[in-house]
Amino acid sequence: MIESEDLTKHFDNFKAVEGLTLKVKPGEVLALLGQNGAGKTTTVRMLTSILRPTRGWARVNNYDVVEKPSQVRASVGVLTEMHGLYTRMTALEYLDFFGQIYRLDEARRQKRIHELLEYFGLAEDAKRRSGEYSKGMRQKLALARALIHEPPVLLLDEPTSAMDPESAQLVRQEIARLKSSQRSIIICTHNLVEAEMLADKIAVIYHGRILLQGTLEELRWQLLGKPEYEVRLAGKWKLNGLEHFEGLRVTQTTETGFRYEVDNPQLTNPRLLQSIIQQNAPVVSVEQVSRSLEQVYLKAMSLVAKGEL
Amino acid sequence: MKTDFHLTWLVARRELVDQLRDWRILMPMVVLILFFPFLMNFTAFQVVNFTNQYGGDLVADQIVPLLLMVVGFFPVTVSLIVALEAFVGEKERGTIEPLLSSPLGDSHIYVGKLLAGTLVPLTASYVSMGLYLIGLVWQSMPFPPLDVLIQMFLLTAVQAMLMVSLAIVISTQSTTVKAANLLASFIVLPVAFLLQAESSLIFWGKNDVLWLAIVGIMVITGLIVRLGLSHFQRESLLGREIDLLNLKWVLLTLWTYYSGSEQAPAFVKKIWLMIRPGDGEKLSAGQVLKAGLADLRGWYAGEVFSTLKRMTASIWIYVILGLLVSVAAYYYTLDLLDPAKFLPAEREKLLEEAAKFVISDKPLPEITFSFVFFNNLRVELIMFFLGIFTFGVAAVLIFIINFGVIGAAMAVTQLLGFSPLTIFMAGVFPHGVFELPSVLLVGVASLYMGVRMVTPSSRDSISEVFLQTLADWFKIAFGLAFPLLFIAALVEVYITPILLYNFLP
Repeated sequence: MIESEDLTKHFDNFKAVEGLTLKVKPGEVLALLGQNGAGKTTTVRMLTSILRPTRGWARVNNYDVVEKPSQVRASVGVLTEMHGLYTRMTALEYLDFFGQIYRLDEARRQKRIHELLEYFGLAEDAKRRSGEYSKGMRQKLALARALIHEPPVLLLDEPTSAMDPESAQLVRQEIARLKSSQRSIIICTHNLVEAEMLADKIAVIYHGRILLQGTLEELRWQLLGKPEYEVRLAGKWKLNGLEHFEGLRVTQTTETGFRYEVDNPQLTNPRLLQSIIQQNAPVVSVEQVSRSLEQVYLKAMSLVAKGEL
Repeated sequence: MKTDFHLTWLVARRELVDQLRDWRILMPMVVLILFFPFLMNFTAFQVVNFTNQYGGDLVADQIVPLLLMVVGFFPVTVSLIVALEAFVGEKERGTIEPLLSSPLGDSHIYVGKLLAGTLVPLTASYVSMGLYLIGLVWQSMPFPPLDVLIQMFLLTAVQAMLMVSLAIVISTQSTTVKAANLLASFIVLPVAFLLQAESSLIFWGKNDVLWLAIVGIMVITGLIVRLGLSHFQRESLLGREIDLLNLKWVLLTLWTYYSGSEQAPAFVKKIWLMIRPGDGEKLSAGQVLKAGLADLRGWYAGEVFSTLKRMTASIWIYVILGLLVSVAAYYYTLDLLDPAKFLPAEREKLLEEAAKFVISDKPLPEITFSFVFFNNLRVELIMFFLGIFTFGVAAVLIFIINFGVIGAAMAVTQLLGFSPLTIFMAGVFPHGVFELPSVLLVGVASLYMGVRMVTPSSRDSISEVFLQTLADWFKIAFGLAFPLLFIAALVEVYITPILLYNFLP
């Protein structure tokens, strides 16, 4: 569990994070989105008890970040912005070093090291110095370090950056597995597709403040309004009686279909479809218009630019 | 405890392995270890042969241990770069954050790095010294006695620890490796002076003093380690990015701690209004003076006395220490100049010498107010400057010497046939009642500076604590010690001589 309330960090006059309130339950993934310098790294550093909050509080795995820093750090697996590998160490030595720091006994340490190296496809290169690794391999080794002690809380900064698609897929699968084993996870990322795939909740941070927070669906409603549906037909067709459906508003029409918003899709959509079929119109598809996280994010940023958010 | 050491050693071992895998560290070290002892053996051989030609056996005896010390010193200097990089290097490479986010305690990380930073140069030094000693045997040169050998090996160890501990402090406080390397001159230069002083001691054959130097360096090293550990903050390691000298911030912070406010004193504004009244009413000199006095009263009540209150424990320590040293010096001097130990002529000569020490040989007209005031002020400023570099230890020593001199002077006056009490009451007390508290307060403030510097502070950075304690020192000095010194000088020049002439036969 990760909880914070009014978490604030000022560096002299610079407000890095201001009044951050979060809650990530076990088995939940929160994606922290924001521009560079928005305060994501500062937030992670406060949650790992490296930075002391100026105001507010945070608890990680039920330990207060100010009162119990060593318990907090023992509960957290961190993937930092820079991979932070000791390049003259081999992967085996590196993981063994951190395994000892996290006080894993010899047998458990060796088991975890081999599991992780195997999973991330680094087993064959385990005895090579990490300075000889590619960027993606280094990222995987850094992730293995964060996972070595099977922490209940994970704070991952750009977990798949510099990885090839297969490796990125592997990492996403691992995050999904960790989520299902009741870990609380925060991902800081610029990869909105990945955030959409993995996150249960999204928080958009801007100049140290949380602008938006909620599930993707909640954010879609909040920023993009009601969902839109699209009806596509096999050819030109004139449909009658659309105006009789209560709460339905056509937003766009084309030669072969139209888009509409509706107050109560559960009630209206089946009736609408029935009416179209009764008119013998050749229906190709009826689907909800996709609204990606990217659209939500860009909308939020445009509102910020206009001073409306 | 066992786990703590295991974790500390874990950090140290990783650093050691890292150093030994870096050819840029390894190569110069190997070259130094192999080449330097050979060079020093050659030098020792030539110098000893040369001096022996002219009967300079004594010089030959001293040059061998001196060069042994030099052989041990150089590998430490060269490998200082490792200690300087310990934290700031990791920060630049981005490897420090995983370490700081781990459950390792501050002491595990700090002491681990200190250990690693000391072990490599010390091993290199000892190997070098070993090779040098083998060379001495090989060349049938005079071999230093065992106590000198132990002394040189210990001296090398404490010097290595001193330099590495300073380098680690610099590494935690620097923002870049470049800045840390530039600051290294603050280590190398004082240690070079120290080495010169030690060389002089070796040449003079003052081995007893050298033992004291070893103990002194150990104490200072301990305090530096404590200072570094007290101000080791994960936050500042990652948070500090800018290393520009912000003189405005330094002065403003110092002024705020000194005056208790960021604002200029009210009377300064009033002086301005007196000179350039603008639209408002023109102020008179009396009004400005009144404002000035109100400011001063507020400053004494809010800043000076509250600072003094914080130093109560240190003041008591100083008072007790001063009294004990005076009494001890008094009895020691009485015993030293005991009539039973000397022939009458010998004793008379000795007392004459002692009297010169107690009574100034300057003609009275030369003992002016400015002479006395600036002489005492100089002593207090020396206490301050030496106190900064020794965490107040030097200030305590100077204070003790002052009180010791008083005790010894009382004993000598008694032996000269005067009443110590009369001398004290007529010759010391009138100005001493102002001067001694002044010296005491300066000493206390200097010690307090050192104590605060080595006291852990989770919120304030090392520079903030330094500025706070500096402001405290200024408050005590300008608010109490210097005015007392001023009064003491007036009394000493214009009242004490009259009293002495009247009370002494």
